[in-house]
Amino acid sequence: MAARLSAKETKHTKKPQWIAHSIAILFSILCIIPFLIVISSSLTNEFALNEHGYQLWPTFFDTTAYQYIFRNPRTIVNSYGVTILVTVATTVLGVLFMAMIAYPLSRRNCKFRRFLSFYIFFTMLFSGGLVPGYILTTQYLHLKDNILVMIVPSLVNAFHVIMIRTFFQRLPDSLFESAKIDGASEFRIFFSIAMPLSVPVLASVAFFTAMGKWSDWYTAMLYINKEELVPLQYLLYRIQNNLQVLLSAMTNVTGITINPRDLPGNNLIMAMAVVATGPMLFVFPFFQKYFVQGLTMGAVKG
Amino acid sequence: MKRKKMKKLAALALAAAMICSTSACGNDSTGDTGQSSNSSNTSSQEGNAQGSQGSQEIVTVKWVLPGDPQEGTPEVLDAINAKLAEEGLKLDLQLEPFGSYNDKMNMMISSQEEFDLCFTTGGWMNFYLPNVAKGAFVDITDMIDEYASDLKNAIPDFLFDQVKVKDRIYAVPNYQISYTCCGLIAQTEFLKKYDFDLSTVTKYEDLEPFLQKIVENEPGYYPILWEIGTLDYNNDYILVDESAGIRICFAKDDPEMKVMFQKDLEKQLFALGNDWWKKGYIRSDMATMVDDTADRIAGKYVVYGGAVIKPGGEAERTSATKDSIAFTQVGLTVPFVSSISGRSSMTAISSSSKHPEAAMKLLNIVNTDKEIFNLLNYGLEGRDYTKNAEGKVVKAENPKYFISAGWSMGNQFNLDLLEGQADGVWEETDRINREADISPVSGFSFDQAKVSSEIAKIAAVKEEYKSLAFFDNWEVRFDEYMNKLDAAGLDTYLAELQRQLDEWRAENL
Repeated sequence: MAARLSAKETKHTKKPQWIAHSIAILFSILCIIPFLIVISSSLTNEFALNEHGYQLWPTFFDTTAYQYIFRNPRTIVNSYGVTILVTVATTVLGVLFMAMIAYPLSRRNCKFRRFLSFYIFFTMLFSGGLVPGYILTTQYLHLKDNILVMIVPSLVNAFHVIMIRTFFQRLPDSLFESAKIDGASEFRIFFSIAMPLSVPVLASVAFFTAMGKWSDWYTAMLYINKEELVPLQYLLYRIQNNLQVLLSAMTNVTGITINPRDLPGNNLIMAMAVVATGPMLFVFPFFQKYFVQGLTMGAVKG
Repeated sequence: MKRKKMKKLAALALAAAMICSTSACGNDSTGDTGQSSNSSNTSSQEGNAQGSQGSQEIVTVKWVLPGDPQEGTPEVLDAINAKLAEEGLKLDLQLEPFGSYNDKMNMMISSQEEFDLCFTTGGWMNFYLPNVAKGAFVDITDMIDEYASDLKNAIPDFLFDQVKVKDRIYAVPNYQISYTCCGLIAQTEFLKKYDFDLSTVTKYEDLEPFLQKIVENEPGYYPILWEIGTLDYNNDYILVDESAGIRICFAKDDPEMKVMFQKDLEKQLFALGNDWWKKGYIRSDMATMVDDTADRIAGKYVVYGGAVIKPGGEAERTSATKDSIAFTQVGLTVPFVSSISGRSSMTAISSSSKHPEAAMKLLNIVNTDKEIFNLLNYGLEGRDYTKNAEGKVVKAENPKYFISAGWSMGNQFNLDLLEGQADGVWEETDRINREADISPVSGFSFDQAKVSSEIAKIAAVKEEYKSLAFFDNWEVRFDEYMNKLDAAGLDTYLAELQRQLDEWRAENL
């Protein structure tokens, strides 16, 4: 944009741009500060935290929290493994499945596509609810304590299907027609033409799915009892929520004795947060380019 | 055309709904085919075996307990099951972390998932009354007499009375401390240093000279932790309900049992709190402080006000500090059993259980067999704990199984003492339990259903104003507080409580 403006105009716009930049920078700093505080609090000890409060730079440097977490690294390494496996499997399979559902729905020569689209859309408005879902999963599908419970039910998301379908609809029909004339099969058209042209939307759906799976603890809470299948976020959630529930018991319930020394300190909680969320921070910039593009395209058309 | 389409759609939707509902209803009969088929098989076999007596089949009892999952559970269960085998029982323990226990139980109960035993409480998690109302728990009134007479003898009768709902028992109270006695706990070192005798205190104001000395001479310490109130209420009033977070009581000598919220008393307490806060007895950031666990561990509080006094309480506080600080305690109120203290922790048999009798038998054993109960709490001796010269349990450096929460499982007094616990704690607690004054409305419990929205509103108001003593304009805030309580429906709540109490009195007194 700026390049197209004349020299005179750029002079005018320079000042406001400078202001806009500094606002943006200030805002970014405000966003980063909480992360820095989390990291710095994880690198100090509980009593220093208590005395000096949360600081950007720890006055007292202490790595006991990380030592504690990694003293028994098996648990955390294991839950990392579970989380990564679940995230990767759900993302890869999920994008494939959703694209395969969305593609036919986007083609004009698909019979019943209106009804099928509505059928998918309908699930966004009405769902069976939590308890029937639980009954189905545990008593009919027998997926309790099975790693598949964290993958299979979340493979297809109705909203994402509609997003991808909308993107596919934008692709010109003539492309597919010419491919057909050249003798390409439907699968060939799908994999060699539709998919590569839709990288932005697929990437953003992949990102949403990965993000959602990475931070999902609820499924594990409902269905996972085996320690070796506990994903990272659930491990984290457990530590934090246990603290709250036990603290409430300490003040509200007579006769229940809990030694406060058995409770994790704030530094430990922060360290857990760093260990659990850190990797996601590195994944985000990688996807960001597609993310914005895909999101706006889906949004404008849908 | 269009109309036809709509009709078709409607028919389809209806069909779908019917399929859903039938499968939901069907879950009772068909839902237990898979994972639970093992246990249901064994239960039916047990039925046959009872007749023949010869080869007794083992029945598996599944118990869901709050607690962090333990790595060494299988070995502990093996040890327990070796002992249970002669009774024809086998225990399957599912530990569910405290943080998710409530949600998990909700789900298991609403979906009628099969399990036999679970932990339930009156007001903390996995609520007792709503579950009884839902029919989630088995009525065990007669089963107790038949299968668990030892258990019944070990626990005072008033606790069973308190867990009754419409004269039926739906859970076994986990026997632990049942009375409350309020008082003060203070660091011994400072009491000696300033030559203050804690037992001379009869009301809060008597503490002032001591607190003053701490303020003057001991920077870095908070003279008193403000946990107000319980003290004043216990002397002249009977607490009836606290479900909205505010204390509703009636005067001890009132034959009509007219319930009220004591505004004047409340105001006096806030006035005292504000006075002490200004004088520096209470930490200045009290209003905004959220979590003071670190201060408690570091021993920053010289006096704990309104503490629960119980045998061995000093030792418990000592072991909760990092430098093993010594404490002295004094009880200021008469030990008193509240109307529903029996409901503070219980174990119930699920109505989804296929063999409630076996579950009852297991409960009987867990509550009376010390060896099994200790295994369940502390794991295996040698691996998870060792015993010191005094015969007390010392937790291992890296135990594979160590729950140490007898109150969630059964009769806490069957536990071996932990290192740091005073000798004879359980015997003493048991004695006071049986001697304590019992609430005149013992067994009455308030059903919140009709005024639940008022209670939620009142609780929100109370939460908003709980720290009002620690502001300069506290009197203005107090008036606001009272007005908002009235606006939130305090009178409606009191009227409903009174109605239920009158009804209960007519039936029971």
